[in-house]
Amino acid sequence: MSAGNSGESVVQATVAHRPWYRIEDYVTILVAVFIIGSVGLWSWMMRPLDYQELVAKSTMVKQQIAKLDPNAEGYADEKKALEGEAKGIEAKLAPMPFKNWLVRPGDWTSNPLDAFLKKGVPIYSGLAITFAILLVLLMFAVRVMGKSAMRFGIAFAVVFCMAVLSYVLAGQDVIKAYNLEYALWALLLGLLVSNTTGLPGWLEPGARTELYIKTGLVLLGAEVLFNKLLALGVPGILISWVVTPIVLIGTYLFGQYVLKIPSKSLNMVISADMSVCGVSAAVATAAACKAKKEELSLAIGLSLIFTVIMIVVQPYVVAWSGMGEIIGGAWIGGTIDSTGAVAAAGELVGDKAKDVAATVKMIQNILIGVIAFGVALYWVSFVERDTTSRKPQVSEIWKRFPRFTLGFLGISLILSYVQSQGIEGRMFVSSIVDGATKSIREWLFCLAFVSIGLESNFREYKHMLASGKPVVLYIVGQAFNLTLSFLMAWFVFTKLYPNAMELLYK
Amino acid sequence: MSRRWRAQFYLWGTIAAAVAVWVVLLPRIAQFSSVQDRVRKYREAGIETGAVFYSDHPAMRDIERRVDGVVNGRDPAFWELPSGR
Repeated sequence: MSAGNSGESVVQATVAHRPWYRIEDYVTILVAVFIIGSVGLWSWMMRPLDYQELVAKSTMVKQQIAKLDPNAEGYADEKKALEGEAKGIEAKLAPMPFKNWLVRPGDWTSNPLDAFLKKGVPIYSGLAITFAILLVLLMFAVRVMGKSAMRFGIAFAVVFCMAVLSYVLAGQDVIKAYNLEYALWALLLGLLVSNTTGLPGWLEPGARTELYIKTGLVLLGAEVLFNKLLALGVPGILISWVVTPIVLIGTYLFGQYVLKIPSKSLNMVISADMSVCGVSAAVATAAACKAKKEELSLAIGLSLIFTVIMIVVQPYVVAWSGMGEIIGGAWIGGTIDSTGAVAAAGELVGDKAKDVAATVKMIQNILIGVIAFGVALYWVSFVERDTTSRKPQVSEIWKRFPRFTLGFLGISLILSYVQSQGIEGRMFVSSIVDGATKSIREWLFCLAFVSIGLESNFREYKHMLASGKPVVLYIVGQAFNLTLSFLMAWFVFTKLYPNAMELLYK
Repeated sequence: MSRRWRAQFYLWGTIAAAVAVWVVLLPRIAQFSSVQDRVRKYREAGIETGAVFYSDHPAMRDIERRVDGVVNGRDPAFWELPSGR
């Protein structure tokens, strides 16, 4: 845990006078690059012998799908069969040697122990391997930063068990149906310990929020693939990349100048969480603007509560208003914070709505790389700048800049380039992301939320919520988001690109 | 009651309440047909309701493929404004 001058815990980049390789931001980049590099190398070595033949076959099948006549008899069956064949080939082209080693507890209905079964097979050995992999990587990082790896290892074992328990709590069917994500339970478990018995001294070295968050975010860069920005053509860009920044900036300014929220970082984290994509955006912006841990958890808590309401209400509003699946899907995708809840709400409206909602959200997800970088730059240039100097100095900006955001963006750009290199690039990125980094990133975020809970105090939340301003900020921002997203979706699909809507309906 | 014991009481009391909710109450609610339908629907559609990022959905690749099948090859409808604008 790092502490600011005021003694408050913050999610921050510490750039002290130490050798560069001991600075947390660089260590997290090194660890993430090591994970991506070793998984990539291993996957490359595991390629099937007939790799080139499979690539050619996959291209041929895709061409066959493109040539199918939608009006011909048996079109749907033929298309389904060819798509199944393409999927089978792609599975061979993207070997994932680590996938079965990196597991987490799954879903269950009435017996919590069912969470430890995957297709009827126990996952205990997989969990032990996951623990060992994370332990070795993180002990190395802690050691490099000059802390005791042994003390960290002992405490980490307990934090890991709490993360396992969070996944079990989140995996119950009723909890899943209403989108109460693992982040919430991880936070509450940590808060339960810290606000009853207090955080024991021996557990403190395991609660390394910044290490988990930053490493997780740099790994998340592998999933921020800019090519996906074009998935829905111009309509997708207008709904996701035009509305979202307007809502983010508008909400932030409302919080600053109308509500006069004392903490700029709290204002920013709530604005980003609400306008971009929930938990992942909140984590990224909190790290970029060095928000207090309690501010991050408050923003996530607010978002999860309103998501539960929106996931129930919004599909009914779409059906009642008769706006249709495409506009409704785009509206849901652009407004519901949580990525999981977007697809769930879209599914309740219909298949087309789900596809459009999930795609709009995916495009919005990609925005977090740019948002995190922009917020970090704005923060060091204007919010934290030396008030005695008129212009922000480049050297000052660089000194304060959270370096891990560069790792995040760098990995994102490199893998986006690899992904754009045809089917071979796509499959290579898939073997890295689906095969390992996604699971490790999920675990790191879960560990981070347990740590935030362990380091937080209920009194802080009471203090922040006393004025009611964070709730008002969320409600006003979300109302603005709902209005603007609907208007944009309606305008784009009925006035600018009506043919696009027709094609999506077919 | 001393402060230490009170803290222990709150901790174990909350744990007991949580066990009761997760082991007794929620499994009963999960038997409601409306909940079962909803869960089955999400599972069949490959939706991970707890997804933090798009890549967490098992069905995301299928969704991308379906949308790409519509967008790809029909560029004017998704990239160019209709003539007259």
